[in-house]
Amino acid sequence: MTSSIQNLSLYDYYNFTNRSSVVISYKGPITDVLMAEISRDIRDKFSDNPRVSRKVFSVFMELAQNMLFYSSEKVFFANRKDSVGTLLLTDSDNAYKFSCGNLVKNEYVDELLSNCAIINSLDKEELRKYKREQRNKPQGERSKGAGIGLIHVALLTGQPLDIEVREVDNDYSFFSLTVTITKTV
Amino acid sequence: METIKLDRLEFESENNTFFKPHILFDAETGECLIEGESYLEDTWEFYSKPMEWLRAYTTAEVKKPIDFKFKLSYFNTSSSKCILDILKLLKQYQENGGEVTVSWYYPEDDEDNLMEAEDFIADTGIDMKLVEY
Repeated sequence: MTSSIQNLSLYDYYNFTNRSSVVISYKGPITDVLMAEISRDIRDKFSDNPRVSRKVFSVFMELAQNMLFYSSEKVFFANRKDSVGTLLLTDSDNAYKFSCGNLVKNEYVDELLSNCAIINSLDKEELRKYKREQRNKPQGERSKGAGIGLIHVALLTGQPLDIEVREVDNDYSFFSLTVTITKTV
Repeated sequence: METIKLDRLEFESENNTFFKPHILFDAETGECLIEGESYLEDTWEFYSKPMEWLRAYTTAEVKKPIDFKFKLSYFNTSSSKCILDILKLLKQYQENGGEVTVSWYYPEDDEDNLMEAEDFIADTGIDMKLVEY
């Protein structure tokens, strides 16, 4: 068997990203500096539509922070330890789709899935109430933020969270989340 | 006992790797302002100074009025938890006889920002003037 890196064709990747209109595609260390740059780029690209610009920007910030805080995939380089994440922003006729993915420990998968299922079962007013309830709770043990990022994203987009989980090995799964931001209200 | 001398508290805004809001608390006039964008490396640490200032101001012997203005065009969910803490403190001061006015400025057509303000009101029961800009 040849090593997978030798089989990796950048041309295949190019073709894949070419099929849909990719606005941003990235896989690698998620750092604060990178987040700031991509967020500026997003504002720049959508400056002609303030509503979409604000929503895509806010969604990106929350989901990228989640990867930064919680991704189990780490890279060690130049004395730094960074979280690794994958993100993709595509442009279709009437919506932008933002996907992000990272490795999570298998033991957290059930909790993540049930959180998303709760969020997807609620309408707008229920989501607002749920967000307020969660925000009023004391900081969770593993939480580095307010613990309401996904609820906030569901509220901003008004669309369900599209989840995919693939078990990678006995310890980790690849967790990916896609959200849809419609171009018109 | 050490007395905390309350003065002006000011943080310049920053928009580099993180987005720091401009904060200006004036003990002389009771005018307090948080404006700009809020996304920080350590949200709790950043807001601990302003919270400390507010705690001292609202527990001083003489109850001075406070006029608080929020003008935030963007804040992440971590910052929203700190904003909630500030509003809870202001509500408590009001209930203890402090004179409090709060205004929330939101960008034109930004329904999400307005909804956040409404939810802060629902959460704290504080009167907040909502102003579009």
